[in-house]
Amino acid sequence: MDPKRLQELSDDELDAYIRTRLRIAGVDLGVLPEDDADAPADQTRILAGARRFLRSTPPAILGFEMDEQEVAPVMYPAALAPRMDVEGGR
Amino acid sequence: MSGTHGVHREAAEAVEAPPLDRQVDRRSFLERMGLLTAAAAGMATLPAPGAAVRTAPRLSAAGLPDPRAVQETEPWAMSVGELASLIRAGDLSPRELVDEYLRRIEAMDAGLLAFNTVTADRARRDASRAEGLSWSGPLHGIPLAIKDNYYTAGVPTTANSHIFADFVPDFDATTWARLKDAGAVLLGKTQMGPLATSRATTPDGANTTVNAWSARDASVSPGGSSSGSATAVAAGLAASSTGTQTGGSITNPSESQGLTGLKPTMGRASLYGIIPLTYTRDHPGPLARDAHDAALMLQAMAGPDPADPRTLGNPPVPDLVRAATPVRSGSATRLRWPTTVGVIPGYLEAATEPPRFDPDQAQDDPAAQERLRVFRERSRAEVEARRAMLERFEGMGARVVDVELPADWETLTSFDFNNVRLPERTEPFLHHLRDDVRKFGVSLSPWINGLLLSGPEYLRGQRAKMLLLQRVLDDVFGHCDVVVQTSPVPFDIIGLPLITFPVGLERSRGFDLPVGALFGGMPWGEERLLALAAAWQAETDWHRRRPALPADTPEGPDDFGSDAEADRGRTDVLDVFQYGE
Repeated sequence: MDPKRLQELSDDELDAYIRTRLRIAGVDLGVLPEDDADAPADQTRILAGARRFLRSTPPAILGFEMDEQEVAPVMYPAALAPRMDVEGGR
Repeated sequence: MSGTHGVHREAAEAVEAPPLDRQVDRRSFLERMGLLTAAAAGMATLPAPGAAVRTAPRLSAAGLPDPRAVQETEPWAMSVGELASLIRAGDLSPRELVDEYLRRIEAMDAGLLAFNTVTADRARRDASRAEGLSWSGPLHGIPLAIKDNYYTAGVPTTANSHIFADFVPDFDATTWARLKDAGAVLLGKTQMGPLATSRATTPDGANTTVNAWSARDASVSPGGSSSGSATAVAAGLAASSTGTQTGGSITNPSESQGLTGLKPTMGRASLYGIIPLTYTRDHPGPLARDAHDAALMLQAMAGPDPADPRTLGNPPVPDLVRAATPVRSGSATRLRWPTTVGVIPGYLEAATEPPRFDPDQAQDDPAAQERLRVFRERSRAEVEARRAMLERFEGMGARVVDVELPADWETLTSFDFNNVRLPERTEPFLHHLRDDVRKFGVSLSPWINGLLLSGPEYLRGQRAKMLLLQRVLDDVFGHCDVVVQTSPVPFDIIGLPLITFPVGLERSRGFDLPVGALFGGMPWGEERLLALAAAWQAETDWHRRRPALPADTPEGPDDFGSDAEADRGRTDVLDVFQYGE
C-alpha cells in the first residue's frame, strides 16, 4: 500500500489499530479519563496525538528511499570498546 | 568591552596548534556514530546502581582574571572565573558565597521556582570544608545548580515526574561526580520539563519555572527542558549549572535567558547516572554565564567513562579552558584559530511564521494572532543582531561564507524524521507504561507514539540520520569550520556540538529579552566554538547584562506579582508531543 494512503484511514480505523498495538504491548489507556481537558492526559487527546503521528511520521519515513548499500548500521566495535585498548577502556 | 577575564597577550604571528576538529578525520566520526546507532538497541535500560568510575581532571587556570581586575561588585553576579580568582586570592570565602546564594534563593525562588530541592545544609557544610582545604582549581568552592535528572547520591532526583517522585539515588552521575571532585558545591537540583520534555512544569503540566528576564509574566517561556538551570544562573541563584539536551534543552533555555550554553559532541561527556530520554541523542553540558565558564564546566565533566561506551575510544579532551581564553593582538581581539563561518540560506531573512504554524486555525484566534506578532518582531530583532555579529566576526579575522544546505535537509531534519527518537524513550520506560500510564502525567503522548513506530521504520530513520551526518560533514564542513544554525534539532539528531551565546536584547511584552546566536561545529569542535564565543564576549557585553529582578529593586521581593501557588498557566499533553524537548 502506498504510505500516502495511510492518510485516508478513518479515525475509527486508526483508533482500533492504536488500541490493539497498545494491548499487544500490555499498555492500558483505559485508566485515563475518556475526555477531560482539565486532566493532565485523557484518552481523547492521547489518541488524537497518536493518529496525527501515524498519519504523518511512518509515511514520511517509508517514503524516503535509501539504497541498501548506503550507511549500513555496524555493530562493532562500540559495544566492545570498554574491553578494548582505547582511551578509557581496559 | 567586558575584558575582565585574563587575556592571552600573544604575538600576532604566534603559531597556534590546530584545534581538534581539524585533526580528526570526519569519516572516522561517521563510523563511530554508526556504532552508537546500532548499540542503542542493546543498551541497559536505566543505569544500574554502582559507583561511577571517574578520574578528576586538574583544571587549567587559564584565563582567570587578576582579582584586582574583577569589575562586578556583587559575587552573585560574577562569572565562575571571577569567583575562582577571588577565592584563590583569599578575597572571597566559599562559605560567604554559598550564604549569599542561599539568601537570594530564599528571597526569590518562591517566585522564580528554579529549584526542586535546595540542599542548603549540605552546601554550607561542603563550602565550609572547602575553606579548610588548599585551593584545588577553578571550581574549588563554586556553588552549582544541577538539573534534576542527574543522579545525586542521597539527594532526591525526580526529573519532575511521578515516576521518580520518591527516587533517591545511591550514587552520583559521572559528570556530577567529576564536578564535585573538582571542588564544586551542590546548591540544589533544578526544575525541568517532566522527563526532560517541555518547559518546566509539575508532573501534571502546571507551569513552574519562569524566565528570570520576565519574572512577573509566566507566559514568557524560560526555555526548556533545562528551565530551572537557566533561571538559576540568569537570576544569580547559582554560579553555573548543568543541563541535558536531546532537542535543544541546553541551548534553548540558555538563549532565552542570556546564557552561554554548550552541547558537546555525542560521547564527549558521560550519560551514566542521568535519567535517559533518547540513548542516541542525549547530551549533558553546561548552562553558564560565559564561554570561559562553559569551558571550565565541560572540562571537568568530559572524558571517558567505562560505564558509558559512548565516551570510549574518542580523542582525548583538549584544553577547553585555554580555547575559551580570548586572544589579543595589540588592542584588538582576534580569533584563536583561522575560522571560516558558514552562513546557511535564509539566516539573514526574518521568518514570517513559526514551525508548524496553521494560519487557518489562527485566523479567528486573537491570542494566536498576538503570538504571531511577537514571533515576527523577535525574528526581525534576531536578524538584526545576527548581521551585526557576522560583521564583528569578520572584523576579528573570520572568513564568512555562504554555504548550501545538503540535499534533503528539510526532510531529514523535519518533525517526522525527528520523531525517530521516540521508540528510544519508550523502551526503557515500558514497565512503567504497562504498570500505569498515569505515571507519565502530561508527558505521556510521545511515550505512546514511540510504541507505534515499527522496527523497519525506526531503522530507516536511524540510517537517515547517518545519511544526514555524512552529508553535513562532507557538504557543509567541506566549506567551513563552524556553521550558524536557527534550530538545534539538526545537530542534536547527528550528535555534533552546538554553542549559543547572547548577541542582543529585544524589547517585547514589556521586558528586555535576550537574543542569542547558535553555532554548530564539527566532531570534537568544542574548542573552536568556545574560542569563537570567547572572542565575541571579549568585544561585547551582552553576556554581562543581568535581568531586573524584584529582589534587586527597591520594591523588594514582595513585588514579584506571582508566588509559588500562583496560576502560571499549563502545558498541554499535546504540546509536549508537538514541540518536544
